[in-house]
Amino acid sequence: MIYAENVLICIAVPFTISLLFIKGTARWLTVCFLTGMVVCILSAYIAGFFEMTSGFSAEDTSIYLSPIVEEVMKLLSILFCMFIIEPSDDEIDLLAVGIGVGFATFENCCLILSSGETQLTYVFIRGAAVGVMHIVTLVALAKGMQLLKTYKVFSLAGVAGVLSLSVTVHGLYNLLVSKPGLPSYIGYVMPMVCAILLYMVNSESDQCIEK
Amino acid sequence: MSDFANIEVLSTVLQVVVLVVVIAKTNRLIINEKSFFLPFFFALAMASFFLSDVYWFVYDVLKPDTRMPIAANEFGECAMILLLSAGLETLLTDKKKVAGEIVYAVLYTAANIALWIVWTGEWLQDILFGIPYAYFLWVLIRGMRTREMMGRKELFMAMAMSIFVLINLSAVCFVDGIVREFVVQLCYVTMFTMMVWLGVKSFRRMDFFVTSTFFLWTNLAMFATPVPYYYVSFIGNTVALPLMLLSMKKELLTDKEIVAHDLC
Repeated sequence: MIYAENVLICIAVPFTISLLFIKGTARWLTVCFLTGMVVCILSAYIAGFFEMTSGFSAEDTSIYLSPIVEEVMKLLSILFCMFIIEPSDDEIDLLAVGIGVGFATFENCCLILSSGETQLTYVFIRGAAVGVMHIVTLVALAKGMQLLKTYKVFSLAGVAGVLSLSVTVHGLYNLLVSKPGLPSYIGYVMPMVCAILLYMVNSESDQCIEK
Repeated sequence: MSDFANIEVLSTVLQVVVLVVVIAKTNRLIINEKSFFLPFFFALAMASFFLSDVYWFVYDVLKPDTRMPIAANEFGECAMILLLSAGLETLLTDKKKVAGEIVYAVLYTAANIALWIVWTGEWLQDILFGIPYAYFLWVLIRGMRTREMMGRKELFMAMAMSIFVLINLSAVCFVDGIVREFVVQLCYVTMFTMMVWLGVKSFRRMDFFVTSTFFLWTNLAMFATPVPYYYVSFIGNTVALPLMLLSMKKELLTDKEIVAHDLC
């Protein structure tokens, strides 16, 4: 059996070594990528703990509990970075994308390795759906926090509101993909649609802030 | 599916359509307006509400007759309340923390949460998702007082009516028979009278704080009323959405007028 910790070590060690030889934005992105992977494994531990204590089945945990745990963990990692390094708007984007990519990559690796041989189509759909979904929710979180910071209304209500929104998107995705057939197809398409919408909003908001 | 379930699905679909229109219109405002923050957060709040409705609908189709333990649609509603509060807070010119207002908002929400726990037994969700209502209520009271959208007498009347409903709804847990029926009907009459009053006030004033109060009251009424009264509250809730959009638009126009006046 391949343990998730072993996968983490295999991927993380080369990246950690690479930090010695890279600088600037590349170094930041690598650190964020590693953070994303660590956040992913911690989320899995916490969700596993809740699954044991609540008595939920694995499917119910993925529908009800995982979105909450994962989004809270991702938000905490971004908030931690924001309070420690006080990043600019561009750096917040970098943090969000890096953590999101790290999180999605590690989750996909573990799933593919644990499920054994899988079809290429499934792997492709999984990558395009879950991979995109984690990035979308994190970028949305970061975008919300950027705006709160820009307009100097960085309040608990705003942050909690943006977090709840990302939990809802994640929860809806997990609910849709839990049933095979049409619901799962809609679920797989959903992150891509959200990514396109978010891209449009992102460029629009950048223009408005510049105004 | 029973007739009531059909009506519930139909009314949710109707609300989703209204929400799509509201989000689309707000999006146009975001593109055209320089003041970006308020419409953006309003759009996010409406998007959360939209997702909440979609989640409820999808859940009802995929898992019919299965209890939702802790569901993302409740997070969606919570997001909407918090994002609306964050947007409204930016409009507050006087953020003075008056103890009476805070105490009222907290106590009123706490009493509501207690009732929800009695009705549903889901104490964790009710507490977790009830807390944002206290903040929202405080922002609304502060906004209406600073803008003088409600006179002192009107404000006290609204408080008295809402407390009256709450006390009576608590009292019916302990009485039975014809007295219970009478008290319940009295509650509904008070509740819908206040809803009509706030609705009319929203139409006449078109102020963002008043329309949001109307929305909040329809939301609370939805939680407190059974079928078929629930649908009346639901329709009120749906009507409140375009009213909120219109009042938010008016808010942006007022901002522009102030800027133009300053430039002159």
